[in-house]
Amino acid sequence: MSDELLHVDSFSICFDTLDGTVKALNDLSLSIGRKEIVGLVGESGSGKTVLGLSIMGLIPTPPGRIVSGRILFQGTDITSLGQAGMENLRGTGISMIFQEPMTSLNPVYTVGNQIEESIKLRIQRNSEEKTASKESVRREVLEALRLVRIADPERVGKRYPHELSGGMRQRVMIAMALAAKPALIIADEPTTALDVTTQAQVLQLIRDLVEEVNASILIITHDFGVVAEIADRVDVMYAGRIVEERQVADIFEDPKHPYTQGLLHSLPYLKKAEQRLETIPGSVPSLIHIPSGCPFHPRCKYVMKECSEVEPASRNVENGKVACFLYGSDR
Amino acid sequence: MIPILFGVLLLTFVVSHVVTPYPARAWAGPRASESTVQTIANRYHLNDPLPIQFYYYLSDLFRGDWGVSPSTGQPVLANILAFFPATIELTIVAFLLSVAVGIPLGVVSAVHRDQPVDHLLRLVSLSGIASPPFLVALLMQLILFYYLRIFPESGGRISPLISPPTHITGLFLVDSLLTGNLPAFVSSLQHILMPALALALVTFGLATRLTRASMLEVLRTDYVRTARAKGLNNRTVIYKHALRNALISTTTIMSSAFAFLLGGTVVIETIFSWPGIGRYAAQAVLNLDFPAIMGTTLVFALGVVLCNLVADTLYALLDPRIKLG
Amino acid sequence: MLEKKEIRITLRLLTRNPLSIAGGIITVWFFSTAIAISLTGSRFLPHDPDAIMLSNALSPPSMTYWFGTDPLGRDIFSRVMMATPIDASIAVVIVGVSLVVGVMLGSMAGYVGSKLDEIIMRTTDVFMAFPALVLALAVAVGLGPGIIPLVEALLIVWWPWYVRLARGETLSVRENQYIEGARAAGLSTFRIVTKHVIPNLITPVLVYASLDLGYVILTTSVLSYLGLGAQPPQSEWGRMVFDGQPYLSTAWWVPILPGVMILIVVLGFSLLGDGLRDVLDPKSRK
Repeated sequence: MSDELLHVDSFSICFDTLDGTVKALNDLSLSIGRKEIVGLVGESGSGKTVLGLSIMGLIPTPPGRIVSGRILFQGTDITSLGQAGMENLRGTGISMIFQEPMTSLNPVYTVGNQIEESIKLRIQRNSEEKTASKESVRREVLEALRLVRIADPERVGKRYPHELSGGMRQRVMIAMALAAKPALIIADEPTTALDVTTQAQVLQLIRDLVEEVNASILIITHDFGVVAEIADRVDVMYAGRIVEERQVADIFEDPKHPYTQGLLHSLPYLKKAEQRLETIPGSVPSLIHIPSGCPFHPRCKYVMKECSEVEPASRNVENGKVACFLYGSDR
Repeated sequence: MIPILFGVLLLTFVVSHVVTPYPARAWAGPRASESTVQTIANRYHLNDPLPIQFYYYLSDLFRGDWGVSPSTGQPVLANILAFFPATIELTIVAFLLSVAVGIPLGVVSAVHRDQPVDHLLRLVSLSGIASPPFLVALLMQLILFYYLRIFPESGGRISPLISPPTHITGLFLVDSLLTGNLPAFVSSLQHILMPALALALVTFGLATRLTRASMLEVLRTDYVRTARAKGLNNRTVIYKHALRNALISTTTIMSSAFAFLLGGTVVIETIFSWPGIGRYAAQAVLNLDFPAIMGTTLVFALGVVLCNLVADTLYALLDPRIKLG
Repeated sequence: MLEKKEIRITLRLLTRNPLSIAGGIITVWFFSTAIAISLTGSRFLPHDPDAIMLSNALSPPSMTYWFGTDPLGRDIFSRVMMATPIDASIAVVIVGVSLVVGVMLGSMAGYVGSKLDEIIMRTTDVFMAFPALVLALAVAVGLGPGIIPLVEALLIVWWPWYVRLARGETLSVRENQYIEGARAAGLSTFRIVTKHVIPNLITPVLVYASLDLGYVILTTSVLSYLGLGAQPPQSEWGRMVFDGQPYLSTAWWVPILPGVMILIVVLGFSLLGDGLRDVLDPKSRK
């Protein structure tokens, strides 16, 4: 337990809106260890971005409301820290990369300037580092750009975000996140807005960097392919809960939860050409009206009586956990 | 810009030569004799077909003949040039005041959205925009002069006991600073503050509302979220990342606020006896002095066009995404 | 946009804001007074607005004379009330006509685009290069004093903003899918514009118009103050301020209170319109 970098402990958060209460995360538990890459897979509307933002403390608290549970980072409960405490943690402790590199970078400052900000922040907070000279900061900016494999960092550093391609911008975002040397990086759909070739390059980059940089990554995505590329472990999310948590190799070979099976069987590249694509009947539930018991039960082909009555707790299976009554009833 | 300038000239022409039922009479003034009216009609070709009138109108303008004001007896252009610097000085000071107060208040409003401070500032800024300029001016005179005796009851740009600074730009504040003339500077400042404040009231409200609106929009953007995620403190996020972007749209819209300011000078200068174009225009209205009114209208329009040009340039300078030209 | 549920939510959100409520009260009061006075004249006013009583001249505000009396002993409050119909009708006429003209021209400009759009936009640019007040002044001086010339002058000046607004909204609506569908179905341009584009413009235009009513009143009062528009013995608030100016230091209520009245009414429209705008902004409805 003490080896864990991040431990989300039965965390529930909801949003009060005019249309009703949106239960975004329900009794969710998840852990990340040191130098681990964990994938969080879920469709849109599953609450995965909310989890990322909650860890960062970036959920506005009206209309957001923490119902129960806590989030432990390096042993400290960060949900009780308050804005000032969280501010201190962001950047140098936990960092986040967002989906849309075009709109996620400030259009009026050069990319070099924005990376420099992260560096200066780290220096300011870390009393060990002596106040660095302008020259050394500048050199570090160039280093950061080289680290994300940008050729000609001198020139690129002086550019504005709109002058760079999508792939370059995403690399800049990664460089910016790494420059503060955080222990944990949350990457929210980092490659979704990029074309396929660039996607592969950026994912490769992320995988290589984890080795060099000594950070853990939580990669949030809807794409199992991304997970296959770089994650060690996967958590599958549905209706604000983790329904399956396995090692990556195992989950592809033998998915346990019916939802995971449905997801994987609907992916074209995992099946032979002649077989038909399966789809999961029904649709993702609205987070305001979540079905009783196991939230997946209305769409599940193995549904049993107790599935609609009681929510299945997470139970151990080989190399992981599943929340499903198929693997043992609670009684 | 050229087509707009042409359009402006065309519109003023239409108003002065076409919309008016009896242009010759209007140009000659209500007290002129019938023969004077005839002379004016011939002089300015007012009986010729419209395109010819327009040709003479344009050539007169460019030659510097903007007509003669029946009430002052002087050429309109000369009048305008004489009163011009006073109005420029007043509007610039008013503009600076409104921006210096309005923008910070707008930021405060946005950051504390929907809290009591925001509601209060909304009331204050809307009241500013809704205030009739004469009410503001009269209240200021009443309270600040009659009751509290803080400011001098204007009557000009400077105390009659002090001679105006040497004419370099025509702007008393600038000229007195340039020549090191401290008494002139102080007196000019005292005299300009009340009218400038009254004038600024409208645009300050506008600046606050605009800044608030752009700040709110900017604070919702992804890049502000990134800035917070980077761990930057609230101050830096707001002032370095958000405000710089918000100011871009604020600046450009404020330039059209300048048109508002110019319109406001008409009343404000009258009440404070400020010897500028606005007062000239108001008196022209009272005297039904048509040439003077048309002259001032044209000047104001030109001023607005110039301001828009400045604003566009500013916009291109502030936003790296826009290329000049 | 005008479905029942939307209206209900809009009203609910609107009433959350005390400032908007105040604005609503003021505007409703203003129009009802204007209507009442134009129907019944001075019958329900505390005093006869034209009754001259020199013995009472320049008395300060009191329980009998709420706004005090003017140099001729007339009750200022009653006179102020008597002037409401003029401003109300001018405001409605100006905004109404500008709205219609603006929506027509603006939607055509935005939808059809190219040359028509260029011409219309250039024209509005030229008009907007003049401070509204100054241009209205120029026209009104040319046309002479009186209310009709004032209205004509304001009409000439007021329409461009509505064209801009309508055009802007049309441009964003134009990209909508169902417009594509209507076009594919072969509907004529006129049909598309009237049945599909314009209903979408109505909300933002109406919100702007409600704000704008106040500004027409403000401009009218300034023009009257300067000597144009309503001539004595017709009373208009701006004119009352001008006439009362010599008494500023001795009987402040004579020029100030009519001016305050203008402020309150214009502010009422501003608060209401501003509140409406906030509420109808799709991003703030979470």
